[in-house]
Amino acid sequence: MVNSEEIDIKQVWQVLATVSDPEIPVLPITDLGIVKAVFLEDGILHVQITPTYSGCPAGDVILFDVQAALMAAGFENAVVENVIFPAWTTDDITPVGKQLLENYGIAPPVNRYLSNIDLEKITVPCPRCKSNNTSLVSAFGSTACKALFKCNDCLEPFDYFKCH
Amino acid sequence: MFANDYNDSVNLLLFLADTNLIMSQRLAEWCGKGPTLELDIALTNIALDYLGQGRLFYQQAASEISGVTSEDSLAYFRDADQYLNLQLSELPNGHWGQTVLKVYLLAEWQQIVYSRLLALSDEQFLKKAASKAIKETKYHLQWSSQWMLRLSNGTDESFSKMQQAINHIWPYVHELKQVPSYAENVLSQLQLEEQFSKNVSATLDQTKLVLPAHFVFNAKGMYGIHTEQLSYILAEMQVIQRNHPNLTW
Repeated sequence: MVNSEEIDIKQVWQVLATVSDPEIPVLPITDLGIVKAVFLEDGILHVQITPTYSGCPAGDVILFDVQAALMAAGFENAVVENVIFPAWTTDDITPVGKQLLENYGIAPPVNRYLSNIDLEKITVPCPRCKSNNTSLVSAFGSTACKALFKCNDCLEPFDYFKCH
Repeated sequence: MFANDYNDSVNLLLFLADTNLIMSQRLAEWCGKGPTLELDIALTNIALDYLGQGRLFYQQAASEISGVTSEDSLAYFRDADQYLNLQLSELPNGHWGQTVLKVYLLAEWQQIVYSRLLALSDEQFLKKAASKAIKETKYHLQWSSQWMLRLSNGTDESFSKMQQAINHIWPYVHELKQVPSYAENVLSQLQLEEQFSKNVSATLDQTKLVLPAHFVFNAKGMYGIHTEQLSYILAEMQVIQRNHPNLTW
C-alpha cells in the first residue's frame, strides 16, 4: 500500500492511463478526456471521472476499472467520484486520442464541440483510405457517441465519433 | 388539487426524471422491431440517453428526500398516481411516424426546458444536469425533425400517416406548454409557451400537415393524473423488483 505522504500524482495518472473505455479498448481514459481531476485531500486520494453520455453503459464499468487499477497499484483508499459538471465534450479528447481513434478505424470528431452537428452536411474523411467521398448511413451507430458512415471510394462502412 | 410529501425541488426533479424514464421505457419497446437495423439502433440509443438523463434526476431527487430512498426505489416502487411524467411520454408508440412525432415533440420541449436551466448558477444541480443532457437532446432534435420532414413530404401514404399521428397526439401537446406549480420559480410559463409554439411551427410550416382545430385536452400527467397506459408500462417495468425486492443483476 502506498502511504498518503508518498502519493505521487504523476504516478496516479500513469495508472489511470492503463484503463480504457471498454467500448473503445485502444483509447486510454486519459486520452478520452474523462479524467477531470486527481488530487489529495486530507491525505485521501480523489479521482474524478465524468461520463461521456449520461446513459453510457460503460460509465459504471469505467468507475469500477479505475478503482481496481488503483488498488492493484497500491492506492487502496482512493475515492473515485463521478462528476457531471463541467460536461465532457469531444474537445477534451487529446490529439493523441484522436490519432488512436483513427488508427482503430473510428473517424475522430471533425469539428469543435457542437459547432456543426448536422451530420448530413459535414465532411468526414474515411479512416481507412482517407477519402473525403463519404456519406452518412445513420446518425446513431453501435453506441450513442458514434454515427455510422460509409466510404464511397473504398466502400467500407465506418464509425464516426460525433461532436458532443 | 395536487399534494404529496415532497417539496417543489424534488417534484421538479421527479417531473424531469419520470418523463425521461417513461419515454425511455416506451422507446425500448422498439428494440429488435425497428424498420431497419440502423433505425432500431438509433431509437435504442435515444432511449438510452433518456434513461441516463432520468437517472441523473432520480439520483438527485433521492439525495434530497429524507429517509431511505434510492433511484431504484423511486423508479420501481411508486404507483401511477405518484408519477409526474408528461402524458405524451406514456402514449403508445403506434406506427413509426407516431413514434417519430413523439420523439420530435419531446426534443423540442427538452431543448427549451434545459436551455432555461442553463441560466441557473453553476452550483445548482439542475444546471449541471441540463448542460450534460442538452447536448444529447440536440441530436434527438436533429434526427427526429429530419424524419418528420422526410415522412411529411414523402409519399401520399407517409403523409397520411403523419397526419394521422398529428391528429392522435396533438391533444396531449397542450401539457408541454404548461409549467407545473412546483416549477414556477425555475421555468417561465410565457417563455415556454411562446418558444415551444414558435419552434414547432418552424418545422410544421415546412410541411402540409394540418393541426386539429380548437381542441385542447387538459392533460395533467405532471400532477400525477395519467391515461390508463401508464399502469401497463409500470406493471411491466416494475414486476421483477416488486416480486423480488432488491434483486440485483
